[in-house]
Amino acid sequence: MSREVAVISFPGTNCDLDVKAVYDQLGVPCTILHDQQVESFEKYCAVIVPGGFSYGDYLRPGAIANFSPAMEALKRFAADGGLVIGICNGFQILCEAQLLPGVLLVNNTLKFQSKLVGIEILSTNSAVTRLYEVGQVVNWPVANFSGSYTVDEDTLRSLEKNDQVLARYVEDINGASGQIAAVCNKERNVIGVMPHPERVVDSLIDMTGSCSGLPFFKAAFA
Amino acid sequence: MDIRNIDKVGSEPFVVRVTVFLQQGVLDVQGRTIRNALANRYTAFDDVRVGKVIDLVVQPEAQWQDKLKDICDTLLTNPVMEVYEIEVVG
Repeated sequence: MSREVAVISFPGTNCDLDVKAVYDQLGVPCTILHDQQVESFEKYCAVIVPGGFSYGDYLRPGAIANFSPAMEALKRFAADGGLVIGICNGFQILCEAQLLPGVLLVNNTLKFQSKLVGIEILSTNSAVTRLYEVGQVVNWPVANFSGSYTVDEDTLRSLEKNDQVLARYVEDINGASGQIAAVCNKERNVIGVMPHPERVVDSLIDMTGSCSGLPFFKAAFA
Repeated sequence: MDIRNIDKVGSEPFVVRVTVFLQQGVLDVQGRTIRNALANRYTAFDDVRVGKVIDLVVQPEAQWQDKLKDICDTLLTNPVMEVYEIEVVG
């Protein structure tokens, strides 16, 4: 099986290079693909939908991106069991595409939040969290206006029961259901995370000095 | 699908207005903020909700209603959190 990772870049995406830099650091081949030019992800082992403001966040974050050719290919890739990871705006896009349940609403603080927050790992049963420990708290930056992950009560209970909640905010920062910061689908191959682990990997720019985001990306390849 | 003023549709292109609101029960943070600001100066307004208005120019071809419903449910709104109303306005 291929070991190459694809990163989708939409107009307005701005974290694609950060993600590629992480895989470069890990020695994992990584290619950035523009959303209008992708027909298939067959040759890749994983697809990352990175953060940013795809299509200017017009209408709703992720809504326009969901109509691009790359997303048709991504839905087929995910249906075949391929590993898909959405970070921040990528998480919003995966929810709009209904690859993950729920939606990301405007933060209940009505503020764009850009700060380090405590994130508690709740499940290590995933391709991104398996190198952490249950209960481990990491400090990762959030940078979003619509970061309040919202599902109805029944969905929340089923997410918790099926061990799909991968991480939560230590404190309630935005009103998210169950303070959820990261979830996966029932099949566990589609993952959404609201904070930015790719900004906590390099000692030069890592505000925490912990490089605690590195295992997130390493997990699928270790 | 209920479209208000559908009897206005003739053989010429016409405008449909899609009005989008968050579902009841979903916290409308913008509406809440405006309400709180109003409460500083006015007493008559109990609640405020913020929505979106989208006008589309439509050709009266066959199936236009089905196509409109499709784009409302997939692109213009997210049915998980929003509701919408449609009206022919001209």
